[in-house]
Amino acid sequence: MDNRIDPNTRSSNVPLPGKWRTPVPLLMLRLVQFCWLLVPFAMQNAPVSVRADEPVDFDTQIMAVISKNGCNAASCHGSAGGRGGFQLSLFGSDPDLDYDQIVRERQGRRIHLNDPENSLVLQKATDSIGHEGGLRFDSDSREYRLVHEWISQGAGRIRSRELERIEIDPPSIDFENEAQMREFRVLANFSDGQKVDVSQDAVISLLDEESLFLDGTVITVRRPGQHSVLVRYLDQVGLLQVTLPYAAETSNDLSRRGFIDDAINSGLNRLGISPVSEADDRTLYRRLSLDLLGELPDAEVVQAFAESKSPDKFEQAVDSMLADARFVELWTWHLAEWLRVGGSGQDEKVASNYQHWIRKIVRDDASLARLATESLTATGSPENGATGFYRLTSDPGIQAELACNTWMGVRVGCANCHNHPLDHWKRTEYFQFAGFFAGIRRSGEIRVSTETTLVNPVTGKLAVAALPDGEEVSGADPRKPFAEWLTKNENPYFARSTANRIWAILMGRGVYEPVDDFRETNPVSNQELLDGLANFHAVNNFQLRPLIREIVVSSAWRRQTSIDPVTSKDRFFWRFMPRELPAPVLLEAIDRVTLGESKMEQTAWTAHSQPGQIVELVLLGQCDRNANCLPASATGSSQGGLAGNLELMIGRVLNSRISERNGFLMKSIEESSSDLEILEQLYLIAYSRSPNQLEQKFWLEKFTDGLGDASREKLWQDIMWAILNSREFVTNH
Amino acid sequence: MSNRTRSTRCDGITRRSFVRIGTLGGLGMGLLDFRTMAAAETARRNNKNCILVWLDGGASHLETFDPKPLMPQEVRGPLNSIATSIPGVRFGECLPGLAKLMSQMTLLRGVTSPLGEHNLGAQYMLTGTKPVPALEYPVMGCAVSHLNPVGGDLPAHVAIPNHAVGGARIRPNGYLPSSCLPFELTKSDKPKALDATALQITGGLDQVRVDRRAEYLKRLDQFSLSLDRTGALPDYSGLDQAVRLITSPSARAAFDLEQEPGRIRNQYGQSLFGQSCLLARRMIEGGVKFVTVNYPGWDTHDNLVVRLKDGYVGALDPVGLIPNLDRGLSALIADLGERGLLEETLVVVMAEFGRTPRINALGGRDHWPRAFSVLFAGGGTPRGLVHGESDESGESPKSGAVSPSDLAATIYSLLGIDPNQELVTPDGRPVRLVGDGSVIKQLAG
Repeated sequence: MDNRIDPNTRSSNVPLPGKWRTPVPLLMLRLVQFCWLLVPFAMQNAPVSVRADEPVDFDTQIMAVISKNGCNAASCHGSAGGRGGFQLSLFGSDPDLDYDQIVRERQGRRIHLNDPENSLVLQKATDSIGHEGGLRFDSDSREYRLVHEWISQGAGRIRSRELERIEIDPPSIDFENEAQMREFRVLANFSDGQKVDVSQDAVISLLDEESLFLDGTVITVRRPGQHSVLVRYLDQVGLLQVTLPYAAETSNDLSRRGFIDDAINSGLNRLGISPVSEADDRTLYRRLSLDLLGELPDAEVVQAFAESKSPDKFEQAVDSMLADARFVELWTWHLAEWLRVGGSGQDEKVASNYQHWIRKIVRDDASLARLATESLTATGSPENGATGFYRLTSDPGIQAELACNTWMGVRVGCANCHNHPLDHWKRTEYFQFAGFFAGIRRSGEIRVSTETTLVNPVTGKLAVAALPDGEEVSGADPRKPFAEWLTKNENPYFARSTANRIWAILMGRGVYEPVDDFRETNPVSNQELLDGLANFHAVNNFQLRPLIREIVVSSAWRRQTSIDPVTSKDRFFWRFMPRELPAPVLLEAIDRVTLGESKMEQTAWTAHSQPGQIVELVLLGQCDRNANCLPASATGSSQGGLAGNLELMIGRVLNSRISERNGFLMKSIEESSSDLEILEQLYLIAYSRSPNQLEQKFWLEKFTDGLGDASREKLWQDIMWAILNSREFVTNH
Repeated sequence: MSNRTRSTRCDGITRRSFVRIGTLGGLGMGLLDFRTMAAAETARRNNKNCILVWLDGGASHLETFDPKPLMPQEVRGPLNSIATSIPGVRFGECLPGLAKLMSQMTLLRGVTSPLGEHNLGAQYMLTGTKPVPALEYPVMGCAVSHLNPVGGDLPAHVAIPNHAVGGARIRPNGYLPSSCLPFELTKSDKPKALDATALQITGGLDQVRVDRRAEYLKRLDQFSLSLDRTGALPDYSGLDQAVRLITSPSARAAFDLEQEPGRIRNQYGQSLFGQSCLLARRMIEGGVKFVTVNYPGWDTHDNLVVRLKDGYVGALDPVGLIPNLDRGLSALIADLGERGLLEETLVVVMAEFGRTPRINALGGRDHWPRAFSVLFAGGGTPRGLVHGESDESGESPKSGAVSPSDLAATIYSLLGIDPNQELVTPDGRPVRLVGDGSVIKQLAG
């Protein structure tokens, strides 16, 4: 069968009742409806058709039909146990299995070589025999003819060609308004040199059904923004980017302080989004203090900063904070979350050594390449903190997943059982990754043995460690070449995924989300930005401080938070996204306001490598590190349900601090501070600003003359409680 | 109760009652019965309620619902059996109450599972899907409260006294948001009494101040918003639900067992389990859709007679597990029946597995998932049905074998929920509510 279409003509397929709605004169339609009865003869004249003499290729044509018509979906025959006794590989990842199942299993009952029409596969697909999956294609459809022809040719496997790669033409489409309709094509490049339009055979879906409307390969855009169309053909996937600007042009002058702003601003221009202006000094200083030191700033320091006339006061503040010991503690905590210190049942000793090792590196040059290399190649006793990485699981597969997730930012877990449905990871690659860790021995000491027992179920032989480019790795410790490959500047994963993670911590969301899910089909909101960050990061030896500095001195980081119901714009960083404070930072802030200083002997992130065991931190949203702990997104983490809310309201954690005799409130009342003074001080420490006229009036009105001491005390406690739970307090904004 | 200050508004609802520190007492119920308020709520809903009695540890089927009196001592065990109200069907000797009620219940004796470990077995039974490392599934109570959210003062899913099941390592919400976590009365795993410690108001606070705090919080957020400082207002539903629970007299009253007449409390028995069953009934009356009653202690690897029948000498309550179970559960079913709640309330009694049909060296039985029993009452299940049976020694299902997935599919179906519907995990993966299970036609056909 010849699928070749001249790319210069519009594809004009024979119109068929049912799925394919291609506009065509009614006469032609009637002609075809008559002609289907004379299938073999009519077919000879149709441009896209099956000719009796053209051999049908199972691997590229029949497999495409199976995927296109949903037969191998997870809810149907592609599920773990198949359906109705018929098992296919999920999304067609295993043509060998599928061929066997269709042709050989069930004593070959599924196909009928001498009477193709009565093949079970065709009868089921057309719902002529009861089929729980319903009608997949009509008996006069293209698919039917193709399968029919293949069976009548002997249901063989000729393997006439292989798919090399698919292209989407054009690779991106910029719309101007919602009335437009644009078309795209999916082109397949085969090993025999042919480039074929496979638009009809590709599985095309939308990542967001609300924003785009798809009719075959014709797109209309319903909502402004940047959207994606997901294309899948055989075992390849691709993404088509579609844009419709929010407004015709941006109005504000776009301020810029470096490559980050250039990348963001060009995106904003393309999408017609106007950014907001930079925030005031007080807001900025509070932000810096929380993001770099993990603390609320003192009122006097904020005052001094606001009053300073020095032109580079901001950069100076940043540099001084980056050199501060508190920076080390906060960012050790961030990395401990990232590396899951204390998770999966690690005991106190292991966790504490693991954290201590991280802290040492952060204090020093904070190079992520060093962290990655040392953790991946670690051996020895728990005293070598880096070995903590190997004390989270004893399974080589899970260890590989951890390594890939932590340092490459990819989720390969799906590939344990089948080829990844949305990415290029094949099942055999999963076991090649696992091969790097198959020789790890974990009794007390971590060491590497060359004797491994892990079998790659795809090859049936021992799993061999191999890099994603296919290069096999052998030797006494295969982890070393893995770490080298990973931390090379040109590695496509390391720089991007680690930079994106740091970006997400500081900006409220990554350039792609989730930050540990880097894959071909996960759209990047700004490729120029991501590449720029990755380059900068690599050139600066993957160190934390230079990248953090570059991010916070940008104009983008200094923008105001703003409200806009159109949250889809947030991906383009037109404003600063408020996000909830991490649990230890929040606890520290609560202590600072209520007690004047931290109550815990050592702050949550210095000593406590197992913060998931501290009641106060768990209440405030601490992740338990038994799974991934991703940076808190702008929408905030969930509150731990009803029990959490009850504890905050009437439980001990907040209330004991608020009513503490030596705490701020009780002492201020004892020292006869006026209500205005108390209000002012509370606002200054909690929000880094003074209450405005309206706020002053509102609160002070409550303190009527007749109010007794006891009632006044309770009133202040309730106001303080409300402040400690207010958005302006619990978020960095 | 003497410190109760009662001042009612003209609609009879007390608002300014002060709560004694540390107890739930002193609530001033007022003239309006909490049941009436919730009844209107309940009537609106078509879906049924559920009380899941969980016998944590794995209850022996041979000493409870599937005795084998004809087998030798080492199989049948130290206890005898008694007749039930269905001829030919016998129960363990410690279940006279339930034996009488058998003609109104449904019993499954062919339940079978491959998982003999507490955590995994419990996950399979409670979620209906065989546990996999890739994804944690939600327990039925969480899925029900997520799919049918209620707007009343009480939470949709309550666990009495807590949800520390299967070794307490289960995350009940699985891939669903934490808003559907069960409300547990207490986190303590050995509670002495059924005080809802989570509702205890600490020093100096009262309901007026609680309301005030919520009001001030929202006001502060509005100020911030007007100053363009924080972006959109947050979702207050979690806060509001907590406030409602604290300040609603009817909600708090629902947790107060002291409001029940002594006669009723005695009927259920004074054991923690008995009182849990009584509280479960009050929860259902108050509008809770799914109540999990966790009855721990059934992992009887040793000393069956003491643990299951006689209880420990010198204990506060020297009664074994099964008599407590019988008394509390019979009272619950009868009470629900009398109040006209049984048709719309499905009662399910189950455990993670059964126990070995052979007494071990310690006079106990070990884990046995290959055949065990599950009991149903109410909720539209057939009366007097025994579905499935185990073989002569209780080792394997002989007929009517059902898997935990089949059970879950059936329970969801009885509660008006489609077990085959697809939900979506946080990372966008579509997943069916129940793995591969068929609804048992004899129960929910």
